[in-house]
Amino acid sequence: MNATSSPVLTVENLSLAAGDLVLTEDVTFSIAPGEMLGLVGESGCGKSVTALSILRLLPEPPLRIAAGRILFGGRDLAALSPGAMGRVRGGEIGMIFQEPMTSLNPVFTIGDQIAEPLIIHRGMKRAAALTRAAELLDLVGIAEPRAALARYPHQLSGGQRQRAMIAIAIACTPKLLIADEPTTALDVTVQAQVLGLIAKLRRELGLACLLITHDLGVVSQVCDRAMVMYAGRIIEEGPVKTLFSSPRHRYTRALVDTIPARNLPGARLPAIPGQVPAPGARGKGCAFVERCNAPLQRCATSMPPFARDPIRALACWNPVQ
Amino acid sequence: MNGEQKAKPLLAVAGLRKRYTDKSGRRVEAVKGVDLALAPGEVLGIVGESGCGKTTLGRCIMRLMEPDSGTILLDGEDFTAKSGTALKTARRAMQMVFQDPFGSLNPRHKVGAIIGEPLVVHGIGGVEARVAELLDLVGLPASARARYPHEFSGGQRQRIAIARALALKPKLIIADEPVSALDVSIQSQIINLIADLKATLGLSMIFISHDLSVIRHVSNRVAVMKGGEIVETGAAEAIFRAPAHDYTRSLIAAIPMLR
Repeated sequence: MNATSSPVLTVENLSLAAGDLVLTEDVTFSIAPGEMLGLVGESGCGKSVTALSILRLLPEPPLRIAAGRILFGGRDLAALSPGAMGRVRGGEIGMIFQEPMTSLNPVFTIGDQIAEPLIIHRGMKRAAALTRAAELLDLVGIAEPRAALARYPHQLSGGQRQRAMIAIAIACTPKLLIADEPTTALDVTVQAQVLGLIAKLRRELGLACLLITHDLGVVSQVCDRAMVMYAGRIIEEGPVKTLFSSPRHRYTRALVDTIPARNLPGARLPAIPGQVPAPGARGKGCAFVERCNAPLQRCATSMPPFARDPIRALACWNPVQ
Repeated sequence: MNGEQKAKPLLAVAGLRKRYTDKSGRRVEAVKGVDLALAPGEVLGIVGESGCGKTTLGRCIMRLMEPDSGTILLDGEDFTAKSGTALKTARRAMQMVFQDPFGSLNPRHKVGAIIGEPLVVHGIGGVEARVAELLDLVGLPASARARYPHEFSGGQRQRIAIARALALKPKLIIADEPVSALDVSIQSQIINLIADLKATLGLSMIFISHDLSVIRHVSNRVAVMKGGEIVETGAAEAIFRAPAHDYTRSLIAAIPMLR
């Protein structure tokens, strides 16, 4: 991370709610130009709603931004009108989702779907947009890109569909790419190719990327820095090299330790007891307290602050030393 | 498990083939002549990418799908030749756990009825007591029997599915991606449960997964599948330390590891 350049995106104290139910609280982070930032957590921790809120794709209502700011390109996206947000989305911020089959439109060709943002955001004519679409398909590694323009999503494999999604996402050369579980539905060998592609585009286009995943291995391989989310809050953040080799939050530590590959084959896994508390069932203190192996008395009653040093940030009353 | 049984395999599959027609009308040869053997108390991991035929293979061994050809010897008896009551009786020895803990449990039945159903179907008495025993075995409270599947988390639902699979005291469990839909912290709880059950009940298991690190962790032996065939098989540690087949090597190289 280049600390001197100003961030592409800064999220400040973002809280999301559904009615009175608090989904995420006090989420704060920033992404530097060209940086790959990972956001990891288990299902229901709030990582996907955080991504959707940046794009203002939350179903509002019932969901809403209860507090906080989303600063991007000198504007607060949290306060932007739907029309203005439409120009940011797909133009300045690209996005990729987990399931390329449901996020591509089945009745339009791949060419039309890549050309669409170019026509809308760049005012290109259809023929020029299709030429550019073929170049983009080539860039994302689809063979015979001119012929691929005429294909429909169902005619492509899972990996090719995700490549096509990436081509759409980067069509307008965004500054930021938000990728929500982009390889979760893919086989490992295809996953490796798609992650390689994202890394290449990031180098070649200077793209900043927020990568959301449940897979610590993926984050560890491709990200510079990562954040761990638990029950609606970011509980630890740091460079991936130190974050996973010497986690300080008890949850991060437990999560790393429980991975089969970190244990001897056949050995009993150090499992984390219990389950993630649902929104609404979280207490006043740290949400991990009931599953923690070293809770203090105050952990249950008072929320640890998200304390930041120059390299890492942590919300834990009794961190691993 | 008797000592004299150790020598002969619990399950021996030879020349298993399955062709079917997919949704777009294409003929797919999903399993192309698979041979495998499973010793009592052994866990055989079957690993491969989507479409390699691993799920079809598991279903054909259970005869949830009829194989086109090949033989399945279960405890020395020809399982492929059985039908009717004989098949039903033989099936007690072999049970299945599926990936999706949401789709594999009937939402309108209480957990007690779900776990007890195999006993009822097979006309075995003492359902109440056995259900209580099974709930305890998989680490669920006795009160779980009176609740519905939707009241449980994914990990707990997988415990229910495992309890149901154990109801008839099978010798062999075929588990198809049993932990793939679960979060990391829950996945390890279920892996530990499976290991405990294997140890206490002397179960044999076919563990089907796309996840190489899970397969390495749970298996004694591993078979790598690609295009309907087993391309490499051997002791788990040998396969992961010194893979012989190019495809196995590329699979292992593609696993994202923590740095």
